This record gives sequence, structure tokens and C-alpha cells, in this order.
Amino acid sequence: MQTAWCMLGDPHLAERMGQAGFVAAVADLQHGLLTCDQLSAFAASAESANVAPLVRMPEGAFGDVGYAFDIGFEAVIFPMIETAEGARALVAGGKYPPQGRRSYGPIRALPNSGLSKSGYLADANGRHLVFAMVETARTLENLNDIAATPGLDGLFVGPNDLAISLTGGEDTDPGAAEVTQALELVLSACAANDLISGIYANTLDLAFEFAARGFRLIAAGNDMTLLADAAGAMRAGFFNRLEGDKT
Amino acid sequence: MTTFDKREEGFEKKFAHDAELRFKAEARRNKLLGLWAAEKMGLTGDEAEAYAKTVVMADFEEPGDEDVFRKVRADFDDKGIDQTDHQIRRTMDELLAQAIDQIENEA
Repeated sequence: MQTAWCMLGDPHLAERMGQAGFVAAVADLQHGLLTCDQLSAFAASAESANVAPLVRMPEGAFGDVGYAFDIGFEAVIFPMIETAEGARALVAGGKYPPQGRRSYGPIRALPNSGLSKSGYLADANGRHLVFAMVETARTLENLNDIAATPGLDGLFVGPNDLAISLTGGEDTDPGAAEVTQALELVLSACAANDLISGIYANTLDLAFEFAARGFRLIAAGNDMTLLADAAGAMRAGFFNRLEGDKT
Repeated sequence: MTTFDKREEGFEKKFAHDAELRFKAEARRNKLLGLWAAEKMGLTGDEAEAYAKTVVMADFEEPGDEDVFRKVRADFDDKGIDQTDHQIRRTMDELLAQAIDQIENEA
């Protein structure tokens, strides 16, 4: 399925993505303009449009994974997981025992779930998902151990960072042959460990290609490029119509 | 069923709905385009309706809109109707928007 990817600093974007037909929207805290204090409003905005709120965390913020779930996010996409130890830290932050050691305090998640306290506790590890990002050569070396981490729900490829890592800093091309090869490793690891495969696609063509390869969660483009493209199309359409009417 | 499966199911339902809406809207657009072209060619009543049906049928030749455009273009050329490619394509765009609007408001 497709998810929107939001980088601009406005929680209302989640609602607008729902209006556009998306069923999920990622708030990008690692590279986007959204800040932590906008996150619960982003989740509420997503829920109002029946959109699943997802978040890409900043690097190393293991302690905040549980909080993202507390305030209503359904899934966390966590950058730069390079070792099984990193994957275990992610699970520890996002899952209640026995899988992890998430601290209890689901301030929005519990009342919005309609469940009892014990009902939410029993359901929480299945309802809030953790994805480890695959972005470096080191991650690929440790991929099987990472993928086998109990409690991990998915792998999410960042093909731009992966291209930079695999080409030794030469290239950001997500279509590079090295990246394409790595995608097959990720898909195999997902199949072997019953994980959800996800990926970011810079363009519609890449999104199609990734879907054809079998990725299940695909982020196609982001709000900044979509806005600029739509504005450009409107501007060009106006110009072309003026020109067309002269002929 | 996990959260993700449920979300995926929601996505597939929406996808099926969008595909159906698009199919209906294109068929409606083709009919409206046929009636517009019929008027340009001086056809009225049953003749106009019959012509519009041939435009709807033209869309089954191949995926996309080009088959519909070619049909109207050829008929205009046959009858010596003065409409540019740009005018035909623009009318197709406008009528598609109108068709989507009509179908959504009927639902």
C-alpha cells in the first residue's frame, strides 16, 4: 500500500493527504520540518481523516519510540539500524514485555482505542509496529541478524542513503545497480522472518518498480515535491492555455 | 489480523473504488464528448445519441485516451469541422472533470 510522506512543518498536512486518498501518512522527524511538539496534532489530524499516522524518528531516539505510540502513532520507522543490537533497542523502546520494555503511559492511544487498560496492554505490541531502516552497507552485512530480532515488524529501505553508502559516497541514485541488488536481500529477509517490507520512492516510476518487486509499504514522493510539482503544473497549464487559445 | 493487514485492506478497498470511479467517469466523459462532437457536426436527437455511443466504444481499442481523441479527430476531418487538436483535448479534460463531478454527486 501507499503512504504519504510529510516533511513540511504543519500537522494539518495529514488531513490533506487523507483528502487526496492516502490511507497512511508519515511525519518525518529525521529530515523534515515537523517538530516534536507538533506530533500529537499530526496524529489527531491523520485520525480525523481516517489516515494511519506513522512517524520516521530522528536518529538514535530509541527512548521516544514508546512516546510516539502513546500519542497515537501506529508505526515507527527508525533510521540507521545497523546491528542486531540496534534492532533490539528499537524493539525495547516500542514493545511492552515480554518483547521489550516500553514504559506504560498511552495518553492518547488508550482512550482512542476504546479498549480497557488490560485490553490495550494485550493488544499494543500488535497494534504499534516498528520498522528498522536499511540504509547502509553495514546494515546489509548484519541483515539476517537484524531481521531475526523478535518483536521487529518490518524493514524499511532508505534507497538514497543506501546508494550513498554502497557507492562509497559517490552517488545518491536510488536506481543504482548496487541498490537494486540490495533490495532483493531485503525482500528475502522479510519473507524469511515474516516482516513487512517498506521503501521510500523518490518518483512514481520507482514506486511502480518497488511495488512490482513486492514491497508492501511504499512512500511515493513527499509533500514538498508534490506541492512544487502541482504548483508548477498549474502555472504551466495556465500558460499553455493562454498560448493554445492564440492558435 | 494485525494493524497493517487492516490498513492494507482499507487501501485495497479504496483502490477498487477509485478504479471503478475512474472507469465510470471515463465512460461518461466519452458520452459527453460524443454529444459535443455530434453538435459540431450538426447531429441532433437519436443521431447524436447514436454517434455518442460510437465515441464510447472507441475507448475500448487500447488503454488511455488517444483512441477517443483519434476517433473524434478523424470524424471532424471527414466532415470538415474546424476544431484544433488543442480544442478537442481541452474539451476532453473539461468533460472528464464534469463527469467525475456528476458521478460523485450522484453517489
